[in-house]
Amino acid sequence: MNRRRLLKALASAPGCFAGSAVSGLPSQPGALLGDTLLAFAEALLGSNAMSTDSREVLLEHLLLRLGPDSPLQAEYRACARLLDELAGAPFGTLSAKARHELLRSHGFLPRVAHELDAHETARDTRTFVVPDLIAAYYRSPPGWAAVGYTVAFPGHCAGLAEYTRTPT
Amino acid sequence: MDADVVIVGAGAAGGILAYELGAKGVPVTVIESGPRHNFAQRSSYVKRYLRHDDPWRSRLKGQDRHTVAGRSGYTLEGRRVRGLGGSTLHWEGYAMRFHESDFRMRSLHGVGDDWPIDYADLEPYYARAESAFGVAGSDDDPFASSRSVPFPLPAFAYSHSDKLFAPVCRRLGIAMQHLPQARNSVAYGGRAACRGCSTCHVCPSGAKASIDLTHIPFAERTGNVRILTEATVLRLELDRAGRIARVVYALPDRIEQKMSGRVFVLAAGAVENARLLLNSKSREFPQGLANRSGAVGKYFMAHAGADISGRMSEQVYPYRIGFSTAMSRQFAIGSGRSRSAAFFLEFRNSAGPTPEAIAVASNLTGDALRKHVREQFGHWLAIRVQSEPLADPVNAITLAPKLSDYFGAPAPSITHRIGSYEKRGIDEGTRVARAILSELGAKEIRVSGPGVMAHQIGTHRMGTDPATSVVTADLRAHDVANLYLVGAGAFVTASASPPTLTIAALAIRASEHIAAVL
Repeated sequence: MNRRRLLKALASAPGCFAGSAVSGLPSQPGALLGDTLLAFAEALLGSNAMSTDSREVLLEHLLLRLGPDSPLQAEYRACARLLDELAGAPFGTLSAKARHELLRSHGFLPRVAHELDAHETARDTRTFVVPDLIAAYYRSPPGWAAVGYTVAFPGHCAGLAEYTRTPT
Repeated sequence: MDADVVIVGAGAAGGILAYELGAKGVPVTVIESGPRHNFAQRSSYVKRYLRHDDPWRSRLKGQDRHTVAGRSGYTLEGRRVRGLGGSTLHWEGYAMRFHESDFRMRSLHGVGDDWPIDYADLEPYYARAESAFGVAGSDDDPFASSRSVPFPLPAFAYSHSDKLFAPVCRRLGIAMQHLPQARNSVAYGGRAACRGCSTCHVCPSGAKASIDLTHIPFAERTGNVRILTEATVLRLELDRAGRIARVVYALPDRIEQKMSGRVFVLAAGAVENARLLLNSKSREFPQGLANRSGAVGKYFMAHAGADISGRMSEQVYPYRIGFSTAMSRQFAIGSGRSRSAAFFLEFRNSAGPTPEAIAVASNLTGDALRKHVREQFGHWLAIRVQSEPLADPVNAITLAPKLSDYFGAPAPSITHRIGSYEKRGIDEGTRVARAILSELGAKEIRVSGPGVMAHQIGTHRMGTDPATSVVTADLRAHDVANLYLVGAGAFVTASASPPTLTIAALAIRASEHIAAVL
């Protein structure tokens, strides 16, 4: 199975990081952290981030960020650990409403930054992890689809007719 | 003798020269400081590019160290590439010829200097360079100098936003033209037609001409061209007769090695050519090799300009093709150049913030973020003004006194400022661009600039007088008979147009001279 098909298969399965024993994916406990971060990304990005395509994008990004060469590996791991700790269970097992409430009340979300600046990890998450996840999503095909671009956009080869007219 | 001709650098100048000489049966060795970037890895390079991780960045830590001393803050970061293909690996692919007036600035306008050659001398070589690259263009440019042959490929069609600009430009008396591209509008030269991937700094299809695709394979196929990669030349050494005897180079292990030859060609770009000469001081050349004039490193030029953006109430659909398809060269020639810089206008197909930029700047999350991105995206049109610089001896490449590179060699120091001549040209271009956007009904107009944009030009200028120039019209060093300095470093003026096609034409011309004297 190539990497693309692997990501697609994983993206359609709940608990995809933890449930996999495939080489190339983070090993335990990294896999649990991965599931927590995927749930975090989905909470940040809203209901549309739950599609298989979106999950595939986020999975690929998280694999990159949890990898050994990632400049943000420590921030991502600390974020996941804190989320699980605050949730009292794997963060991904909470309901969507409970996830959002936890993020809001503990200062993970950019809008409520002023409400709670006490926890360093939450602050680092807002500063580094949140914009990084949001950026990864909005430069991906699902991010371009959010503005109505499904045929021609950077990284998606669309031939030489599409750019000459309004999007089809 | 290790080689007849030793070429340092495998970019636009060095790669073309290697091919041209190899095809004439001349044994050539090319020493390139960067790697052979494997085309099969382009899709992974595209992914890195999309996440703003420059895939062309040098792999040796400190190899590109340099200091910046000038007011413009010109830095080499992201402005050149090491590797087979050099900066053509990441270039925009805009392939305009210089105008005949660009070669005669002193005679026609009383500023800058004249080249020792003129447009007519270079025209046949422009045609050959266009043929080798596969330049797509149209004969719709009344401001271009005459051509002996048509463009080899048909022009790319105007974009959706070009068609918004066109009627307004017509009303204002501004002529638009198709922008010539070294990019396949149809399959050509064994390379595919452009697939519209919008990541032109990393072209995944090979439709954009780059020396690693257009020349290196054919050079190697001649059987006369040997290429060393990841080998960095540190200095050149003279023999007792005052000719270059050998280059000293090192692989990443930093162990020095030597290569001898009959003729040596520096084709490492305007900055590295100057640095190599300055790092090759000797008793005979205490100011640096081939530098009796004192002009090595001086007259450094870079293109400066501004981006003028207008916010429209309606969607204008940017970011669906990675290159610009329309320009105006109406202001790139003309009598005003005695006082202010010529400029050309590039009608951008990528304008305004991307969805990513809007999202990250918003401080929103979830569905509110999605709604915000959808509402804000796609309303900006933009025009880029690129002006011509004047050669200024203050703008220079020197050696950084306290900084060395990966190999321990003194790093380059860049002193660059945008002169008042350029600023006046950019101001005028900004006024024209504002007028176009206002006429289009832009609700808000923003100006970014003036600032430096790209290219490294000057530093070993050509001329007839050895007291004021470094190389002859054939690009041979005045001071050293078997040394040639090719590339944009030899330019006397910089035009408002990008330099690559002129680099290529000069390299082809120089190859004839070198083959003849061997």
